[in-house]
Amino acid sequence: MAGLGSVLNTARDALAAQSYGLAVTGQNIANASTPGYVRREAILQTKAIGAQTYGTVDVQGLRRASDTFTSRRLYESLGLGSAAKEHEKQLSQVESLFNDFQGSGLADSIDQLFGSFSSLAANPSDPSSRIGVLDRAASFASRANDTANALATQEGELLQQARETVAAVNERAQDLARVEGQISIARASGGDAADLLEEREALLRSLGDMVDIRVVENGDGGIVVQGSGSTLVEGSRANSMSIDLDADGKLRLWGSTAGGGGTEITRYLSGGKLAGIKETRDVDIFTVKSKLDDLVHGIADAVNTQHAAGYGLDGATGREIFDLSPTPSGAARAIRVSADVLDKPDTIAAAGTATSLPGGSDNAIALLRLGGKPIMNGNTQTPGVAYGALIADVGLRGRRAIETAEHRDSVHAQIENLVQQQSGVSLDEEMIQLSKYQRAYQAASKVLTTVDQLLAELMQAI
Amino acid sequence: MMRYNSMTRTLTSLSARQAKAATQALTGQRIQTPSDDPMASAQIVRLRSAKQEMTNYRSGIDTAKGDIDFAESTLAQGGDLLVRAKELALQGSNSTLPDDGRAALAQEVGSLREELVRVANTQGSRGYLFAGTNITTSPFDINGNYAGNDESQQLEVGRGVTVAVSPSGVRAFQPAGGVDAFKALTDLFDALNANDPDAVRATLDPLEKAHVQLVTERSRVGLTLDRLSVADSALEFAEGGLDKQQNELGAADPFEAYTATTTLAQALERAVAVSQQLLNLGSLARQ
Repeated sequence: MAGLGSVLNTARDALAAQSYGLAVTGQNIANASTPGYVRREAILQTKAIGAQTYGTVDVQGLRRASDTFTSRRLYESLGLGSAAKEHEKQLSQVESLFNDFQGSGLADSIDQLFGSFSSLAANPSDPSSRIGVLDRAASFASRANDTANALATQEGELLQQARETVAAVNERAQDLARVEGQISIARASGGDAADLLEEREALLRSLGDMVDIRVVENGDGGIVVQGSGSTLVEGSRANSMSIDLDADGKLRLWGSTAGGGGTEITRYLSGGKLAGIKETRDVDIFTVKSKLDDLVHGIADAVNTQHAAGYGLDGATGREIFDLSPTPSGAARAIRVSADVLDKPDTIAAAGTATSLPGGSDNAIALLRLGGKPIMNGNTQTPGVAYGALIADVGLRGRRAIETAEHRDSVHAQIENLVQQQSGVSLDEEMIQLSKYQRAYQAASKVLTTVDQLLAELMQAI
Repeated sequence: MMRYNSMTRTLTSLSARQAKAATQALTGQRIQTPSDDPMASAQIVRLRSAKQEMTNYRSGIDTAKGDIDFAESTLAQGGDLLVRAKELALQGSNSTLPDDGRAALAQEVGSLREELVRVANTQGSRGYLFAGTNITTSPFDINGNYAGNDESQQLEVGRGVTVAVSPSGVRAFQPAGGVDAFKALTDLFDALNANDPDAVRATLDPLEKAHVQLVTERSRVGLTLDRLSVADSALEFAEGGLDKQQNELGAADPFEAYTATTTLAQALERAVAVSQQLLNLGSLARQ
């Protein structure tokens, strides 16, 4: 049976343990709104000294209420979510280029081009209808240029953003390696490293926002972080990623290996902002650009051929309206009104034969008929239908991106909630903990005073 | 913390949806960007281009109609001239007419012929009416020699449907249409001057033919005018149909839009109120 002296010890240990509990609760409350903070619990347990039971309490340290499996899913959903969000954001910019509902799209300039042929046909000798054709041709060309240039600009910006993102990934990897080094030092010296783990968590989240990561624990408390399948951080060592462009101008992602060489990991890129950027740039913008080129080239080529068949007021034939590349690639950016006809309204070939000059309008009619003829996409679609198909394509891409982003966002939110349930700080709960430790502390003090009084009485009695 | 996160999400998503509904109600347009409804967007673009086509045809018809109207009244004027010439020929063929009477008639016939040349050289908004497609050169000289051609100006009034909209100077005044109207007048003029009633009588038949020829061309022009009017009203009807379709696809139902805006605004208000209560519920922390 223990003496009063050991009860004093028990009270001392109790005071220390309860105040530790108070401190941990204080930390939790202080970090209640810190993103990524994992709730901590003080681990208290009875202290055994030899075979005797003194029933005193011992502080074992901290426990972070985190679960490896959940946090793995968290990083995954975070990466997928931010990829989709970036994709949606970028696509809405692409979409704004094809916004024909404000009456400023390419559709209007196509309609107006054919409309100008219609006025030409109705009044072939009128100089103003000829000037109208030139004017509409110029605005069709410049609208095509503007749209294609805006796409090219966005493509360039996305490349820049991809570079910046990769640079940020490498920087975070360095930070992570540094923190990992500190954690292993702290652990080796017996510390709980809770604050460093918090920092590691925050870095992993910011990394997972930029690229898809996989975090594997390597057994001794350290972690291995893979980004797009390539090892980014292992212990206190960080590797880097880099990007370049392939022959088609598409992004390639490289992971460096320990030996110094690089491996292409483009096809493993599946999440994070970087994946959203690549998807928009290399898939959507690439396709939309080539469809736009096809459209512009198809219309301009047909107009050129028909126009060359007619006769200008000067009796000459064989002139084309547009300067056009021989193949569709890059046509939308390069198309211009040809110098043969620029500012020369008389050269517009409204007449189908030299003998019907100047009032003949056969060729103007043939030109305006192109507007309703299946001259596009292997002679299957009229220009209007082809442009509609382009709009639908752009719209569908946008729609899909919005839906994917919504879906992934809600998945991520669910997992985030799950993590919050496990690791988040509930203020109510902390308040209860606070009173519990407070009362326990007060009681331990009471034990101390009681023992003290007993000892005093004992002293007086002697 | 969990409930704060989901609170923020709910509020953000609600206010975004409310803003969208408000824009729809405000603009009356269901579709703001192609991704709002990709298929309908494509269709709207197609409908608009089809409508533009109709508008183009109609404005062409409008331009042509003015000239054709003018050509019809010009031909009517020409017909009147020939009727007068026939009357003069009848008078001149009467052998009881005093000799100086024919000379006086000849003078009037001379001015009738000048008038007919002037009529045949009438200019419309697109150039000389009776010159075929050679519309910038006056088609008849003072003797009635033709400098125009026999091509006709075409107008597209629907996909693949063209109408010849220029009256034919050849058919109206030239031997190709039957007789040479100017020659008939010249012959009458000469016969009257020669004081030869028989020769004057001989011009009656060609004059009659020239008149019929002009009237025939006039009725042809009238038919063209009818065709254009029919085409125009068909186009107008089609245009209305396209408008309606486009409206059905793109317009927001005003009641639906208003209801959605109000409902979402109320939902948003409630969500804000609930959030406020939750935030006030730092219940235990207060104690």
